[in-house]
Amino acid sequence: MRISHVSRNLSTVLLFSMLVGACGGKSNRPPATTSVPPTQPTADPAPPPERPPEVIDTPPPMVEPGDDLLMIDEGDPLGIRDMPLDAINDLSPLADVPFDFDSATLLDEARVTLNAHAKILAQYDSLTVLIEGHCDERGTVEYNLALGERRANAVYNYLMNLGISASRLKTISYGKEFPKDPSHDAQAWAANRRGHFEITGK
Amino acid sequence: MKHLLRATIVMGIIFGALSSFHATTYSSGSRGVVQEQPPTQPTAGDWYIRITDPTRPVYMAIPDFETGTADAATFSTTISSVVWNDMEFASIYRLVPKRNYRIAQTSSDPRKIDFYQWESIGADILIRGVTEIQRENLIVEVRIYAIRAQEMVFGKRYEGPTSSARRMAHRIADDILIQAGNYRGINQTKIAFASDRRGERSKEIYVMDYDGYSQKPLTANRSLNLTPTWSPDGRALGYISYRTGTPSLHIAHIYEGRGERFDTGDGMAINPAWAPDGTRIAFTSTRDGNSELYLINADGTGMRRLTHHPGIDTSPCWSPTSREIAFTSDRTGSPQIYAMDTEGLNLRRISYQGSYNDSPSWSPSRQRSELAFTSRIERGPFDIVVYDFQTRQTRQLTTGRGSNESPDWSPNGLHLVFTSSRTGSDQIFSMNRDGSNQRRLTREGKNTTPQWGPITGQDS
Repeated sequence: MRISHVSRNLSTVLLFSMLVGACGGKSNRPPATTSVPPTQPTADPAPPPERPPEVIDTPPPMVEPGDDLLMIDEGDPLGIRDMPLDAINDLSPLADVPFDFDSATLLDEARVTLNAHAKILAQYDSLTVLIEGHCDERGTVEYNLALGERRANAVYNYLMNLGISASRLKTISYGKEFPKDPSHDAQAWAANRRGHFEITGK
Repeated sequence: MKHLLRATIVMGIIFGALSSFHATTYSSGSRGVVQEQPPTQPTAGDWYIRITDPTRPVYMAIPDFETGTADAATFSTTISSVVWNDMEFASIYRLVPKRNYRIAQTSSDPRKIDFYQWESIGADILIRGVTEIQRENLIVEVRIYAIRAQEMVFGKRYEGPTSSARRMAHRIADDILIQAGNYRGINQTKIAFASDRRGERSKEIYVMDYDGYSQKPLTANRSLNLTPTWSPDGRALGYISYRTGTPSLHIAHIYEGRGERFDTGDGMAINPAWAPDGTRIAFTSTRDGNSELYLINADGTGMRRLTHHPGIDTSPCWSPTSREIAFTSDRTGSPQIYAMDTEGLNLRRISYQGSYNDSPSWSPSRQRSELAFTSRIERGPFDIVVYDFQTRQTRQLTTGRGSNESPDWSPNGLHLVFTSSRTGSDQIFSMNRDGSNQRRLTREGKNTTPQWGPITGQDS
């Protein structure tokens, strides 16, 4: 089977890059292994439906890259194949990527995250994704609409260069209309300057 | 090129403005009948030149309107306060404080004017109004007196349903401004803006009176609707809606209750600006892979590209002649204001100060050539500034209380409306062109991207 052939190498690289990505900034999700779905942020206590409870309680195994213990479910390492779209999006399998103020340049941290996303999208090759460009509250409504579009485009082009088909990706800009964090400080601004991924089809 | 949409416009909300009241001008002092002029071609009585001294401010007294019939009392109060507020906002005259009026209002016959007493408290002009209810109709008679000349110089009778009291008062204020100095008042204009008051993940286009009253939704599609722009006749609004997914250019024909979406190709369409001559709409599209400026005819045909640059080009606004467009581009690395003609030629940079400049609005004034925009000085807050094309000087109108952005001129060029976060959330404010007289207009939800509507031909 095609997936199981490639998944050994893929998932180890994936684990590695996710761990690296997790160290890069505090806005990232906690480190996740391929066998454990990412945990929910504390702001949203509702557990995602259809997730076996024993998986939640499983601590991340102490493994080295290449360890075969990771290959628990080679066809569905994120455990999302049977989930409805809403539940997948609640899990946010594709984490946000950050940007600097008034910039649509992909940061190193964002590239690492996007490399991991590309591998997930290669593994789950039927997923279609809407890439949303968002901005922080500083600056105008008008210009941020254009800037958000450019951010979404930067993400789109990077994923396309990693081999993801353009037909699976769409972009939209929400400017500064939908902040993730409504506070007015540097931490909120950093969280709000983001490329966000909405799974639109599977 | 157009898609007819199901009527998404909330019908009748602005229709109220159409239900007319009646007004007649009548004899004024020894000067015979004053001919009523449409507000767009104002003519002041020459008495105003005669009685005023250009070297000093003109003082106006506006005592509370008298009540002819007892049931008119509440309307009298409303109309008095609206006219006072309008005159105060206009900032054309100095208003003699009301507490000083008692000395001049001693006569037992209210129709008798003691001109010497009014002169003694410094009034140059006296406005008197009488409010009555007759056959369930509201009737207001207004007279303007020149104090030192001791004559009535203008009189007019207004009649309409009681529900039109505020509009009648705004009309009275505009008539006073025309008669006493030939000023085109904006008291009957409206302001459009985007508001999230109906729900967090949506914004609808709203319309309100210039003074913040009568706020009503124009759209009700529970999507994201942003950046309204008025047609110059005030009968339609262009805006951006996400209702079909990708943000696209929509037109609301507000008196017909009809909406349409313009087909502008792939990519998003944002930040529309209707030309003052009514023929075209400038906007930003990413159809060619990058934010560029385009024009489209007001009927949705003839789309054409204006800019060709890999940077962001956005936020167009028109010169009052409809021959030039100012816009924002980050082609030098940060957003700055540029201007060009409508062929895309004669490009020149306007803003050199500040690390971030956007949302330009060109003054409609024919006397002053000015451009207002949002500016960030270094890494500080965002404030409203005005660039003067003659002096090449930039003056700052707001100073650092919250973020101030998206200015738009009143149609007479004397005021601006803008968004400010000074109270903790985005709200709409208005101010004079020198930055004075700042007033908050909205309170409910978050409110952004205000656009000041045109002075339209009014029923007389």
